[in-house]
Amino acid sequence: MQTRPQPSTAVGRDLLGVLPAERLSQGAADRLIYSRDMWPKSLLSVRDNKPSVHPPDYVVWPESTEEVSRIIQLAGRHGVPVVPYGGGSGVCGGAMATGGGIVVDLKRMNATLRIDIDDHLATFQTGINGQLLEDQLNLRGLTLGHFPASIYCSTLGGWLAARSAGQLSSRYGKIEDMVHGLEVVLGDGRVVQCHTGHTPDLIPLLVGSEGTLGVITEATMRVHPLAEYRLFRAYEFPRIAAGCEAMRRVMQRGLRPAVVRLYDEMDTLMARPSGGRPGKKPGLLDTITQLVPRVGDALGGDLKQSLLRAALSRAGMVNRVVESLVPRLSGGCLAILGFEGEQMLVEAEAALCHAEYQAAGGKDLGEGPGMAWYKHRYAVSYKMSPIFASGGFVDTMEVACTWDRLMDLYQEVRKALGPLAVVLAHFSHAYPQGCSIYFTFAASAEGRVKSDSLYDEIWRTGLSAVVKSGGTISHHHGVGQSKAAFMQEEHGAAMSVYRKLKIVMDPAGILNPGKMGL
Amino acid sequence: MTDHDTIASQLAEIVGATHVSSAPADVDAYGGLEPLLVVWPGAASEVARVLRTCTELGVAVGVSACGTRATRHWPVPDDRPRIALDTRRMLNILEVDELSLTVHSQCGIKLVHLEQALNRHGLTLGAYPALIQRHTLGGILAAPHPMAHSPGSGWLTEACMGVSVANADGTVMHTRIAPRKATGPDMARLYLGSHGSLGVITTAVLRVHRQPEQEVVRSYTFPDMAQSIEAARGILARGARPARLRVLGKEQALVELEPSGVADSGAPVLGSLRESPGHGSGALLLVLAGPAALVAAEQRLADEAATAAGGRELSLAVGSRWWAREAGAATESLPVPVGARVCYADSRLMLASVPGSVQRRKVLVWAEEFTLQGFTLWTAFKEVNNRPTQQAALMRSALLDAGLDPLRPDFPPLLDELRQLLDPTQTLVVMEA
Repeated sequence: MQTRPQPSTAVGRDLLGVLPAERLSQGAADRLIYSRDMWPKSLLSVRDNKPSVHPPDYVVWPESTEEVSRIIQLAGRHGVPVVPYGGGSGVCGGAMATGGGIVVDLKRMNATLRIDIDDHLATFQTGINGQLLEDQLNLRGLTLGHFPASIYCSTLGGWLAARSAGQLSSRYGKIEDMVHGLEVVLGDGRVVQCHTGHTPDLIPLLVGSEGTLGVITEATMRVHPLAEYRLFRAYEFPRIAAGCEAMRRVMQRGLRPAVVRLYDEMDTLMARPSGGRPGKKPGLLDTITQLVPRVGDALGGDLKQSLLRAALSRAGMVNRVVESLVPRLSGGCLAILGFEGEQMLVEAEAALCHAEYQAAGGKDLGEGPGMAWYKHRYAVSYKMSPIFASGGFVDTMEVACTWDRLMDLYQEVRKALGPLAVVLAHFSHAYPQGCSIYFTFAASAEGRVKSDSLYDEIWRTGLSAVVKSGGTISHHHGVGQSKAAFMQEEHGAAMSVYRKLKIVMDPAGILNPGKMGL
Repeated sequence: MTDHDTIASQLAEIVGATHVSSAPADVDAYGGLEPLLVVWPGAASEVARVLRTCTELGVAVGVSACGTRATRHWPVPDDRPRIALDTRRMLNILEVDELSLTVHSQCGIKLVHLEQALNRHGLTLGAYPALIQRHTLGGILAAPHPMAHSPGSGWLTEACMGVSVANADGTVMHTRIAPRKATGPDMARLYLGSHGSLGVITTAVLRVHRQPEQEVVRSYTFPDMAQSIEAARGILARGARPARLRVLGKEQALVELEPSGVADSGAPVLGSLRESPGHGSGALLLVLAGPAALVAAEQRLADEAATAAGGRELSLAVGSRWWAREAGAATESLPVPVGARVCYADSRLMLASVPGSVQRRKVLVWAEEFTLQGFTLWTAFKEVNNRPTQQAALMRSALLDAGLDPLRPDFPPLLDELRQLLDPTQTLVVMEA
């Protein structure tokens, strides 16, 4: 067995007093692997053969809350940053060690500590993988009801840190709606237990703090009986506004579909299985090439990529073409509804929703598109690579607002981003008070420097439009680095309260520095 | 030390002379605070300026959201002069958004008045007990009432989407309003339940609901309180979301369901409670609300779950009268329980051990705030006796012996530290209302 080199610094030697050598690394390979998460901007670096812009100095794999606490105390003594790390699937650069320091990978802390069937509560260490957690619950006839597209490669701790949303959020809520208790290690190594029932409740302050206030080591989650029955419906709306109106009416009547999705014209092309290839979901690549009738089918892979790159570098033109084609595209706007639970209730709710969707002008498409979506529901996130390989880039911006501002926000963001990127959008988390919009944008520029600056310009432009329209800059991906510059506009004077929370919980300022606009 | 006249004149400049008073009749209303004077600001900006001025003058401020029960009060740190800041003028409803189902209101308004205004738009706060309608919006947000819960709409504090807060340094913050956010800590939640110790909540945006298309009340009686709880849990586990759900022990059922002892039609309302041998030790009350087809499905499900747990339906009149009173439609109100104590119970423990241990002690018992995770068990004494505190202590230890957690009203220590930063001079004093 290869022995790891002994750490040469004081920090490394102290870490060895906490962890055995095999759970500490300052090897180049580990530091490279842990130097980034899935922030698309760091994928631009990877493509440019500079994959390790922000390597940590150490990677550690603790197995207990006590070890985490000792690591943090040690880091405080040395004034070294601590960056908690789960699955590394975050897309905002929140888990990157921008100031070096110690990356604390929690994935060895993956124990299922307690599942209480009677009380519908389950306690886990937060390094547990999402799908493994769900499997553990399913064995006992329970579900967490949290199904983000990243479920195979994200952890409970990551979900909590970033206020994650799952695809069935309209029935089960977002992750912050599911927390019953937390164990957190603060920046001075103190371990605190938070319970619902405390007032004020500390849980809403720690959930979403992205490692800046504490490291969440254990969580007790509210769970549900596994659904006995599931049912899908799909509709086509001629215009996006009519689809949004249908979603609003359904949510405001107190109905609780598990899946409420609506795709705009462009995203509908992506979401809907194309005629010739049943079951296969096209990626953005296929979608854009499809826009030029018959040309797309005739193209081989290489040509397709060239066309894609050409299209992405003329985003304004592509957006205009799409808009002019919209009336002739067969798709319209696809809406999917899914229901699950006790059959008697599911059927009653589905019938009431059906009436609302039809009244709003939705054409019934049966259950096919919903079943197809369900089958491929985790696939889309893995379709980004071809775009990067072609020289372009793609990212997503998930925002939310109340119903009264929803259409304005949608149009303003499209208008603002239109000249810079190909933009598509879907609405996938609806509430009685409003809805989220999930924008996908793709663009291309020559070379790393221009790509970076176009990427930044798109985010700046997009988020400015969101703030101006009265929306929140993130619904469920979090802030990390990508939205940090907009935190002051998001929170205004409340940002100074966040800074004071930071002083109380992380007096030495070592927890995940350089994030969240702190 | 700043004298009374300086304080009065500076505050009068902010809120107007007619909104400052040191008349004994006004000042005496604030009990233990013994303020020099009372000030009635009309807006967040005025609250902020009052706080800043008081911080500068070294004056402590006790905030009174009329109707708030302050369960924790900060000791006045020294012999500084104190004033009362009363929010009763802050009554304006700023916006009712019928498209997004939200209401934005100043915090001095009584919830019952807010509810009446919403009703005129066909909207409602949700099915909370009439009890909460005695409170102001600011009061219930700053000091959440444990009963402000409905299985269908959750806690009233969870309905709060955002707040405006005047801080002790004179700044005003408005939290961003969105159906959900992932932009760091939810700063609004910090002020909910803070008893006014971190800042003064001046306005809030609440989620509201359309008035229910249909409302059905169901009531059942059970041989044992544990079985009523099992039925309640079954109903929730199967996915129904009743607007209200309440379980009563026998003594409490007699108080709530049979206030006059005689039924509307002359027959004993709780015949089954009294006359069926082995029945009537527990009751389950349920309000189902929503579109008719959904209510019908939930009703079938509830009937099944209640029957499976050994329940028997009570007459319709019992449930209807109970709900009329709960919803505030009836004039008679419940006797206020004496020495009520609250315990959090998880369902398994409750089923195993509680009913016996509490019912042996001739007290009123009921359960509220049901979720899939458990409920809150309330106990109270039937009548005032001469040693209520001692009895309460006995009851508490019996519940703890039975393995129940007491509710945790403690102010988490971290927030004491935060308070030092937000209000370093400790201008804000939470007073006993």
